[in-house]
Amino acid sequence: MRRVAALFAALWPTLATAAPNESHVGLDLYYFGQRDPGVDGVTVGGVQPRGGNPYRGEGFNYASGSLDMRFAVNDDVAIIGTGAVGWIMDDGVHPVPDTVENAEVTSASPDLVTLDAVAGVDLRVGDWKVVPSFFYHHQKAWFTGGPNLELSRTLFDGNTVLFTNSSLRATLLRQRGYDGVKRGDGWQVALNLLFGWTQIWSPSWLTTVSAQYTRQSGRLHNVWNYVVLYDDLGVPVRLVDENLPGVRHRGQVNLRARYSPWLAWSFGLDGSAYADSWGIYHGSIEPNVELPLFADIQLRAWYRVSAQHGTRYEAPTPTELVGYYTQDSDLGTFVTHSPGLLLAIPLVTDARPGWEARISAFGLYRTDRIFAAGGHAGVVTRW
Amino acid sequence: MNRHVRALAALALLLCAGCAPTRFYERERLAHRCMQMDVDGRVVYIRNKMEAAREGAFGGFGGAAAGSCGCQ
Repeated sequence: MRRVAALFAALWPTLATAAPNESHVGLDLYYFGQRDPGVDGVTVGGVQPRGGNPYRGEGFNYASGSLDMRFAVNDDVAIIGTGAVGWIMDDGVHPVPDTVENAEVTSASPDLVTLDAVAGVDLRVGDWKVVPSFFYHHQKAWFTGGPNLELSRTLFDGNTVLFTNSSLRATLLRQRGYDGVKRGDGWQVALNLLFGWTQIWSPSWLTTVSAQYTRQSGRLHNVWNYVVLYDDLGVPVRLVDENLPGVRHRGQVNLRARYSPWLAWSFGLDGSAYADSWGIYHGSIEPNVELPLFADIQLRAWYRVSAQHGTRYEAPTPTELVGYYTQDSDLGTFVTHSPGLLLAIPLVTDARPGWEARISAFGLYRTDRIFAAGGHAGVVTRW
Repeated sequence: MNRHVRALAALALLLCAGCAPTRFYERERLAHRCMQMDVDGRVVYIRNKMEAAREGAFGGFGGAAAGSCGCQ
């Protein structure tokens, strides 16, 4: 860890200053439902195709509550922690044809509780912000957890702000498969490097441009993203684990702009594009607006559209296992529309601690017929 | 090619024309929460949960993106 910090320090000298330290406790309740109705009138091997894998229904309901805490010890140290309990309910069981012999269940989460936790320390070390933490996620047949390190630093401040934000994460994966067989433990390592430039152009508008590189390595295939193998007659005969390269490189650029014609009003435009070594190309654009309603309540609304060209390893109806292959719908080709809005409702603003309530609503529609809707309500106190 | 270079130079000049230093006492609108890129960390969390997995929206418009819970 020290070597990494020393390397970054040597490469990027800085003129930064630390931000004031604040404590908060937030409680949030979430719900969203996702559906995967398939394509009417179309069947593959006698089954109506879903988004991605024809035998894997992506529909579920998810409800959760989370507690997010940050306690400032002094100006340079804060203890951070998040705990979440969730409940996943599958949207009906999607039957596997009798011709498939080796599958017992086709989802890791038929109806169960999930646990998430993050614990760490937010440190100011010289001009660096350093956040070492551990994360944990647990559900039936599925466990992930490991250390995470985030480093960020403002390199040059004023009307022109240069910054870097990087993270390194190691993840232990422990899974039991669709065939009831436990897989060996696997590790995944992810490195993320981001460099950004924020420019204040006038008292009413600013832009941020950033470039990002992500490298993932280790066990990148997912047991529950199984592939359906067919015989020469088009009959599904087996489920097999997907097979993907052990390394994924990805380059991304982001552009964000905000314009405020009047106090408490803003019009924004966010965009990003990336390409990766698995042959995925992705572009997103999101116009957004924020405006005051009454009693200092702020409303933010957005509409995101993204288009993705899927991986070259996608195999819709494989009859033999050659090279790399996947049927993960998230690695496929689709367009996503996702609108949303957030209400920020100040409850106590003229005293410490301050209190604020937040209510949001979201939607998501993918052209491969996966869609979802949800929302959250929460309250946070800051001091 | 030259036309493209000239167009880029004109755009840069146009942008720089509005590039007078903004003093700290002129930053009232910039400092308002409405100008934050990501207004609420919990909303970012739930959006990532919905929109991202190993694929595209992963990392949004420039946040840290070094793995996810991979929950199913």
